[in-house]
Amino acid sequence: MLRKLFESPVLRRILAAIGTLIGVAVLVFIMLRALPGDQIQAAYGTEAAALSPEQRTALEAYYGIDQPLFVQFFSWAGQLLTGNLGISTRGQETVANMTMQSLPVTFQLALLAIIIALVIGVGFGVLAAAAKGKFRDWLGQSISLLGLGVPTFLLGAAILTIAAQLLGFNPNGLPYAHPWENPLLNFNQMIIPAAVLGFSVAAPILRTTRASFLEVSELDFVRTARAKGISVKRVRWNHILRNASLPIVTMTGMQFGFLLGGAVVIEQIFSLPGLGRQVLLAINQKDFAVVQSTVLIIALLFVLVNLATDLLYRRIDPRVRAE
Amino acid sequence: MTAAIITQAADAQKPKSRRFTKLMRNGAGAVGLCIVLLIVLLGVLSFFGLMPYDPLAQDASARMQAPSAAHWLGTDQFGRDQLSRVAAGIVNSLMVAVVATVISAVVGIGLGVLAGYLRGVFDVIVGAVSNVLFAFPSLLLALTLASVLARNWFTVSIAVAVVFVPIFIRVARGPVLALREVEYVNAAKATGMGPLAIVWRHILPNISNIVIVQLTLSLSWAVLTEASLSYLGLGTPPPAPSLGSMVLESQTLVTIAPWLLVGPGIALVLLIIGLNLLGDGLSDVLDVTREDR
Repeated sequence: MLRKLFESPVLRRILAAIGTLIGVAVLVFIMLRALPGDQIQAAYGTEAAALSPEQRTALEAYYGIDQPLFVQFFSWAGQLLTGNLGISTRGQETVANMTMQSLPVTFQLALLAIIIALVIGVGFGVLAAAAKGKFRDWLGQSISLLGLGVPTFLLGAAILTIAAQLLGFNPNGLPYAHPWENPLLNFNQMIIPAAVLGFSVAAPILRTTRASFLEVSELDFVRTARAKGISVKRVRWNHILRNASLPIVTMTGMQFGFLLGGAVVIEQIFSLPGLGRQVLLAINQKDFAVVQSTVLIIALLFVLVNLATDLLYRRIDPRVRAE
Repeated sequence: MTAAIITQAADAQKPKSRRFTKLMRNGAGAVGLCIVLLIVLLGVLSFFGLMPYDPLAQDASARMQAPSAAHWLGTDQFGRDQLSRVAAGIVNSLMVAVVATVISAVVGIGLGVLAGYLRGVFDVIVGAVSNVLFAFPSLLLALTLASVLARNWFTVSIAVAVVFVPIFIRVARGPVLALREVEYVNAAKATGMGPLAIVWRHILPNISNIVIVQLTLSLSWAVLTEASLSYLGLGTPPPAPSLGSMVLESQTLVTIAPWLLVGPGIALVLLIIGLNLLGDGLSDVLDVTREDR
């Protein structure tokens, strides 16, 4: 019974994800603690030079950095498991609280962006594949090339400055509005950044859709469906797309996970107080407790989204389920 | 047996010139190569100091000038020639991108090939390491690394390189798994060739196509990552011109001097699109499926 449970591919994937997360925690710890860079220097700046040796020792004990790295890691990991993500040395606020504020912002942005990306990516991907080698194919491919080639910061900066300075439209100049307090302003603040992100993420989705659609449309059942007299449109959207959807689901999941942490630049440009901005601000203020925990949270989200995508993939593909 | 290896080697040598012709006939590949060469040329001119102006030389009498015959892309708020700065920025971007790609390719391919060939514990460890690196959104990982390392162009390259290591591991490991079962590899094993010699003589030449495509694509991602880091203020420190930080600096002035955004922006987009097109062309010609991220 127990042995059978361990042979389940779902459980194995979950265990692998847990293993990866432990590795992630180790890597984050190594990056921020073991590499040169002094927490006391960071917290006290130039005043650190004026500290007497006794004060310095006391501070080292206070931050726990007089302990061996091994001990430091386990005390940090132990704290994490009890939900203590640390305290911002600048803001005097717990990282858990900060994250409760910033995570929904990033989540909303990523969700909007992925919807926009799916509409552009799947829509143009199918149109491109259905007219392979024709104008629509060329159009679709050009859109994906631009999505890959135009950096989000460039597109974001250009649109923001044009909208703000020429059209006088700058909702992001106002403080961030919560969706349930001022939904209209929130939508105005979110829609341009989401569109910019959606456009860049649409490119890989478009490519995947096109390739997968072309592969499926060669299959026998498509010809049979056409021979039965089903319209071209219906075959295209109902029959081919449904069977071509698996790689698209995987790619969308990957991109969604990427958006949760990859929105740093866009959040910065459009002043959205999300997770990415939290990391960047903490990096600039040398607030290592915040950087460490936030990076870990983002990686956790990324792993969870990928795990969910993988499990979803198993649910919708009978071939994988049967294995 | 030796004859078989010799034929194999001869096969690998023969079609190189034909491949180039094929690449030039492939629309995307030819356009991509031309764009990349054009931009590299601009970079080379700047590297050898052959641009008309010094990218750092300030000229108070020529501040914020629109593009003209003297300054093709105009000048910035310190009177520095924008075209020379863009060219110097290209050098910086390419230097970081090339070094980062080379480091990640050497490390990633090395680990991937050995993991695929040796299997066992080594494979499990390499797999775990690459899973951990894949668990970070790429820009975030580069950002965190760049923030803890002392900032200069080389550490930025290292930060970017770490992000791409797992991609090369994955690209190299897959085909090696299939190749290690191939007859001529078994034959080489039977003659007593060591694993490193087999990898060098028989495995690496066979994954060269996929590696070439991946190198091109990684270059484009590295340019993008470096530019994003510079834009966020974590790239190569000033005053060295970098395309990303030039975009950032131009933002406050863009309504009075839009050319400040246009120059570095277009250079960046052309470089990334050129490398992507070249990657597409190469993957068609070399018959490799490209891996998207």
